[in-house]
Amino acid sequence: MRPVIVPTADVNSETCTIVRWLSADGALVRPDDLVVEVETSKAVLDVPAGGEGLLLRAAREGEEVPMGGTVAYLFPDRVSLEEFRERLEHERQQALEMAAKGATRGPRASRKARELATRHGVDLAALAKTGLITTQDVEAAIRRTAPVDPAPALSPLPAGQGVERILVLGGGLGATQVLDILGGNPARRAVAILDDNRELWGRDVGGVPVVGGRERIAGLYRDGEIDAGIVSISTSIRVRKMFRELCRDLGVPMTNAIDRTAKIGADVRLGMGNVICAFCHLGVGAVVGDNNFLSAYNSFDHHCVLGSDISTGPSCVASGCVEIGSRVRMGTGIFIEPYLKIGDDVQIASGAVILQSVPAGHTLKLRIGHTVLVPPKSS
Amino acid sequence: MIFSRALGNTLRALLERDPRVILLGEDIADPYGGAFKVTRGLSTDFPDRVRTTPVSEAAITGIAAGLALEGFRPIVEVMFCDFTTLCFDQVLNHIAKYGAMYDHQVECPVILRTPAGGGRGYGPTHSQSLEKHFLGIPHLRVVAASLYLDPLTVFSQLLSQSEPVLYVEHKLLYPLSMVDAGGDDSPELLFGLDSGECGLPTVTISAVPRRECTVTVFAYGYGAVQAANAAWDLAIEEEIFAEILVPAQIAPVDWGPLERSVAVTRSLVTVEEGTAGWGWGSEVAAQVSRRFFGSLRRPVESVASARDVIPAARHLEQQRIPGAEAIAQAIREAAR
Amino acid sequence: MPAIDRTPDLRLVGSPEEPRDERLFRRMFFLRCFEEAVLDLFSEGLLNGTTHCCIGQEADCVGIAEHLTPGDHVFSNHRCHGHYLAHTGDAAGLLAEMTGRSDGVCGGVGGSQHLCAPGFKSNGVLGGTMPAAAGIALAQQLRGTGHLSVAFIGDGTLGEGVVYETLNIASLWRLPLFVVCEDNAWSQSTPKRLNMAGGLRERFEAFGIPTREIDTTDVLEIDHTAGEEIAAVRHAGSPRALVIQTYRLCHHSKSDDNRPLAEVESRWLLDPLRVHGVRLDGQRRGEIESEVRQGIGSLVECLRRAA
Repeated sequence: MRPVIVPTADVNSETCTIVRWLSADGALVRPDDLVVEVETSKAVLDVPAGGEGLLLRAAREGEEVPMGGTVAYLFPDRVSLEEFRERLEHERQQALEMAAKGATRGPRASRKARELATRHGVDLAALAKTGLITTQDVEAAIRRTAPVDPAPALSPLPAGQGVERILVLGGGLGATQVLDILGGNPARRAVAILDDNRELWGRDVGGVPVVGGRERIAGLYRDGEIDAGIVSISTSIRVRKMFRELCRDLGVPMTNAIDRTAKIGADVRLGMGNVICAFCHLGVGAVVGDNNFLSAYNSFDHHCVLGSDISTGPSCVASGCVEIGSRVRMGTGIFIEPYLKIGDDVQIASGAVILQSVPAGHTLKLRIGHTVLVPPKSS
Repeated sequence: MIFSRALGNTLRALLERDPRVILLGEDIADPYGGAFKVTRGLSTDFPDRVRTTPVSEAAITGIAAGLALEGFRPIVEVMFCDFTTLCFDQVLNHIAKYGAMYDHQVECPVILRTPAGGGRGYGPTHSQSLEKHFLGIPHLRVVAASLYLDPLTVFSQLLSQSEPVLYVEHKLLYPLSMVDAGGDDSPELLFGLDSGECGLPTVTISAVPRRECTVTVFAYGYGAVQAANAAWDLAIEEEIFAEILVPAQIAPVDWGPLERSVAVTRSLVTVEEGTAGWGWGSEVAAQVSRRFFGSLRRPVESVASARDVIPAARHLEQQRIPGAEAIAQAIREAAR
Repeated sequence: MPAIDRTPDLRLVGSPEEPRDERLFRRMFFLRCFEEAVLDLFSEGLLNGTTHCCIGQEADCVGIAEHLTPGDHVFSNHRCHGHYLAHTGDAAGLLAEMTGRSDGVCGGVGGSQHLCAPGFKSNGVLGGTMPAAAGIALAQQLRGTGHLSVAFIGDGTLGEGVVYETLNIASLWRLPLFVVCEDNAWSQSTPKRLNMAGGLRERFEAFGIPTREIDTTDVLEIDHTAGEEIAAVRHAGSPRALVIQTYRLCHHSKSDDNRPLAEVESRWLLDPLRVHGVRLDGQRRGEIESEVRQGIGSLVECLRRAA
């Protein structure tokens, strides 16, 4: 047996790639026959057999081999070739088996997703998904499996006789605002918080415990541990609406949280589930739907009509008789001229001064710099 | 199957089934079979129709033009992309003009094939990606070789239409295996095909479905391979999800597939190996910025080679042409 | 705008039955009158852009065209009116093209230098047409049609490298290519002595291409030589070159002529119309001239009305 070696004429390259075989496996070759084409960093070379014999290939097309390495073997007869081939095959089989034991082949997942799944005992193989499994997928799986493991040890705070026990939905910064509004009113008490982020379970916000995720709403109400719920989340209209609908479906009543500094005018009709922050003003005759989050210093003047699931930033000011649809998202510092109509699902950028009605579904962006200089009138 | 063999088989299939096909090029005949061995074996089987030529790039391109004007389908191999400058007058002032200049009385569907790109240490005049100089020539199509689309599919489409084509083959693709985008040998990445509007499709590659991706990467040639690898690593290690779009035709750009991706990701990186500026990425950035004015999350990022010659020394060459890490870093920034 | 009639006008191109002497004269005079009409229309502002007239070189165009048959191909250059008209007779299409009409040869896109008709093309980039002509010859060779491809070039074009690349391949591959080099001694404003080193015919012969060189404006001599050369290309199926020493009696394009006045005037004595015209009967020559003038005149009138 004699090896066929890639010549090392090209000192720049350490390896070369097998481009294609020019001689068949088992073919009889002579010393000057070119048996294989390899590509180095410099050129494509044809490698001569360098001896006479029956050829056995030792590398596949596309495979990288070291310069000076063996790419094939030459044998004087077929028997010795076959013996060597069998030995080679056996060794490769063993190597494959070793590799198979070492590698934990399973569903493809990102590193973070794999770690999270391990921590929460999620079986990645059970997650059917097109593409790579991500932490979002694992989190969703954790939420789906949560009802069978609802962290039962966590209970709401106790409350005295006749005190309204309020369940706060959402344990983020919105919850601190709702707790601040409810604080100091002996007739009402936030007794528990629910949040779908398991990391928060067992922690507390302002002394009120996070007792689980949304799957506990029904149980807490059924067991008589709460009287009503309120959504503290202001950043996502979609989630506000989802919680309102969930409470409606489960028969859990919603309650309002209105800061004591807010001014609610005469003949105002107010729905349920509204959060109304400090120094807000609802003018005389205003009508407000359910589940709205109005940040501080909002003013909706006389006879304004607001839908449901609205969320506003601070200092949104509407003149009289403005109509605002449901699921409207407003930024900070917005002014609206009287009698205008803002349709459902509208989004309005901070700082907008609205001079005309906005149809449903539209987004109102702000282009800065449209100022007009008016010269003084000549005398 | 490795790309150079797939391409060789494609040329063989074309010669077998279409008597109009003629191959011209320097050193393409057997036993040498071309500097990158793509045409090996063809001149033996088609001696009249596979012709090795003198070292005369302009003349062979022009001869191909004459053949094409007479109804043949010549395919010219220009040994290195660097030498396409010698064909430039033929392409610009003759081949691409004939159809429109003669009021569409004739067609001149010449196909120029050329190996491009660095990474091989061939130095300043054998490593360039000069396709940028051909982009935007009216009535010329520029098509880039890819591991993700069978060259037979591409060439069949090119022979079914009448515009001239520059087909750019990145040298580093030759020894790489074709990826069967629909097959089981690539379970990691998701492959898709947006058939687009230009007759040649755009391949989409991502680790997760498009709706979960936060950046689109528009890349071709070896850059597409690097980008696909980067997309996989970033997805696994950092949960950064990019969708790679690999257009078969890089000019004129088929905007539909790109628009459909950027509309979801709202961020774009372009990758090319030509020198930075005044090129493919600049044009794509300009067009996408116009089409998506106001809705992109951040400016379009373009990855390209330094505006300098490509040195022969490996360490210097690596500093000039975009590497995997430069592409990954651009994707990281743009995905935010 | 009424469509023009592009059927060749027999008053311009003559009929096959017409005695050869008369037909050759008629066709040269047709080219001359056409070019003069073009220059007039330019000065009237009716034509756009520029043009390169072949006044003085008509014998080359007419003498070569006599020997081409349908299936042969001509690739011409910027100075292409004469080649085009001698090949096609399509004066109406060319004038319509130059006036930018959609029924012109190339719909008004090509203009004066970029013409196309079955078996004819021209392009204004010098030298670049040579390989295309060779490619057409290769197509004819591969199809075994027995036709040939003619490339008209000038002495100035011999500065272009691609010419030599093409001559090499044409000879190597034995392509049926007939190169006609009209050496008019001046490339635009530069005399040959400032442009060309070494010999001219040697440039072809160096590639093993048989080359004839004739110094004449006599259409009969060109006709005769072209007949022999074209027959030889057809017979051998390999390239040949014909160098014709000639002279451009007009400016390069429209108004750019700084050649010595005495030189130009001395060459008017060898005006091909004069050289061949003396052979014709005076009355017959007058009739032919008058018919051609009428043909061109009615064409110009027609386009003037349309404008």
